[in-house]
Amino acid sequence: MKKPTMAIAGLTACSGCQLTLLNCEAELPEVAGCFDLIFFPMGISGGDECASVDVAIVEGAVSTPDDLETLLHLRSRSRFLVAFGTCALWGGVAAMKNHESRTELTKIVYHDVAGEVLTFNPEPFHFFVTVDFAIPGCPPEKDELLALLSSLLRGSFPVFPIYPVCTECRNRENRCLLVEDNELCLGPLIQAGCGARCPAAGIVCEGCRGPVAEANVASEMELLMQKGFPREEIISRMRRFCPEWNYEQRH
Amino acid sequence: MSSVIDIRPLTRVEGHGRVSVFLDGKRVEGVRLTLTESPRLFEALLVGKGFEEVPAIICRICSLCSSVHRITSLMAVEKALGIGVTEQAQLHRELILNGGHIQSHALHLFCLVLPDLFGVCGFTDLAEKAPEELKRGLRIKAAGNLIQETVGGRLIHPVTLIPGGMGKPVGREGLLKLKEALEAILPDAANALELFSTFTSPCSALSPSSFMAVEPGSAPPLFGERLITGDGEGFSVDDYRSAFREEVSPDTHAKKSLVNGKSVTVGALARLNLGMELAPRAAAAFERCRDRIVGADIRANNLAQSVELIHAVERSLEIIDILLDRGFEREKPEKICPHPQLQLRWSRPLHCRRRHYPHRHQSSPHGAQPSGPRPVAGRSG
Repeated sequence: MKKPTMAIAGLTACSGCQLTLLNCEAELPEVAGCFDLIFFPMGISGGDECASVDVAIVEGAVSTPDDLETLLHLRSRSRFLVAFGTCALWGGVAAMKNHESRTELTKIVYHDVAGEVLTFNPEPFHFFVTVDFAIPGCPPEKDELLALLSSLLRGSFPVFPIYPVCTECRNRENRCLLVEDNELCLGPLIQAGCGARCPAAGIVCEGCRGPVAEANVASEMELLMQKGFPREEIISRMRRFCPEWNYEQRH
Repeated sequence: MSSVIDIRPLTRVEGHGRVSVFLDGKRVEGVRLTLTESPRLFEALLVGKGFEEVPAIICRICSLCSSVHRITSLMAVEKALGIGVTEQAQLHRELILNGGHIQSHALHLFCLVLPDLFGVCGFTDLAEKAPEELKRGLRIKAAGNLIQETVGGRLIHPVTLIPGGMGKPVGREGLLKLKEALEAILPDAANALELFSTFTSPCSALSPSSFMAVEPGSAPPLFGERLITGDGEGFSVDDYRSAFREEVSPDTHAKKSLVNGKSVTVGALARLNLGMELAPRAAAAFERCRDRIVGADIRANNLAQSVELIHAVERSLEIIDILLDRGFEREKPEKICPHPQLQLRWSRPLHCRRRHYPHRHQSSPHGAQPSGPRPVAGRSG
């Protein structure tokens, strides 16, 4: 059987999603044998920039004309496009201030040459192109990446959980940081799949995997405000990884 | 007649860039490296955020060195608030920093550099051409990552390190597992040094580097609050703004930092040249290749990283032994209540403020007097 061809690339991001592949130390030699990795600038030189591929796995938000060009190019030459990680799926850390003026933000960093910097609000892929599959997380889980790769070899996509981090956290019988400790934990709103790593280590869910479908946002806001957290602080925390929330959403 | 060869994208590096080679006939007239990293505007993202958010945002600067970014921002926040951390938290920070060095150096040496030394395109070809070397590198990297995940809560962007303390410490079982993994790779790390000392660079010597590193001696290796340069100059981190000048270059979003008007080299090579204190095996290894590292140009950085790799494994083992020996209990993280003058528009639930600042509604327009209380870390209800 012909090996599936794959491209891996990054746009506006920290390279953490691509590093997640390289962090699969035990599986990496096997992955290299199962796929024809024809374009992966972070890991391999001399890749083919023009060949069509079966799957393109791409991390990062779209925030520059170069990013958009790369994304459109990868979309047009791939059968499946996978948004890899929270930046590609929701906008991520770089997008947390999309409600403020990009020009003013740029001036804070680049001062009098800010006008020469080509940058626009970092946005997720689905603002520009059709996305076939997504892996959430900042960083994404190794297991979810490996589940995707093995499913692709069998011609399908894996099924990821559609419940919140809270469910996984309760299953692990962690102490509840939100109800028992009155901390600003976003677990009830966030897509599961991480095994509630952070609450298991005694740290609140910071929301790095983005909103779960049918999140009860309004109830969480009310609960946190009852506990004395100002609305602005809650919104600031929710925007860290995903700038667009419906704060009135109830289910 | 001149022409330009553009190498784009720059490969086997973390980040985005391109190299332009300017030719006059067959003669190279110049080479230009352009970093095309998209601006994420971190300095602007932090404006208006509470201090607790800073480390979590800052560690996203880079995935390979997220632990370093996190710890550096923790140190900055704690210094600003005038608070310290316990021995347990400090040891965990040092352990994860060494774990980060192990995984980052192993990734660089074995996945990004080694393909060049074997004349192949990347790790996929190494799997066929030098499978044993690749596997050894991946074993070392996996041990470093085990530290990251066990201490930090996850592989990239650690979460357990927070201002003024930490979440759940690593239990005895976790420490023993780490110890076993690290002891298993000590010989691999020694082999890595042998491997990288067999390669010589094909081109002639480059201009000598001007080094800068954290001043050794005052704190555990890699930590400290003073920087020194190869010229013998030193300055405190407090003088950062006067000692460093940032320049914006055309075509690149990365700013150039100049120290007293000069470019400096940092990293493993700089640290070894400026007297980093090494653990015994690493010190012995350094002695064997000292003449190839001291005063060498940047090409010796790979060898320097191999020495640091041994050091990071040894030092991690030392820290694990201390943690096993002391058997620390889990500490409840202290609630930090910044001085009223330092408080942002929102920073903590009201019950926390109320306890320490009963007069918060009567504050004068100038805030607290300079002689007022130091910022305190206190336990909230």
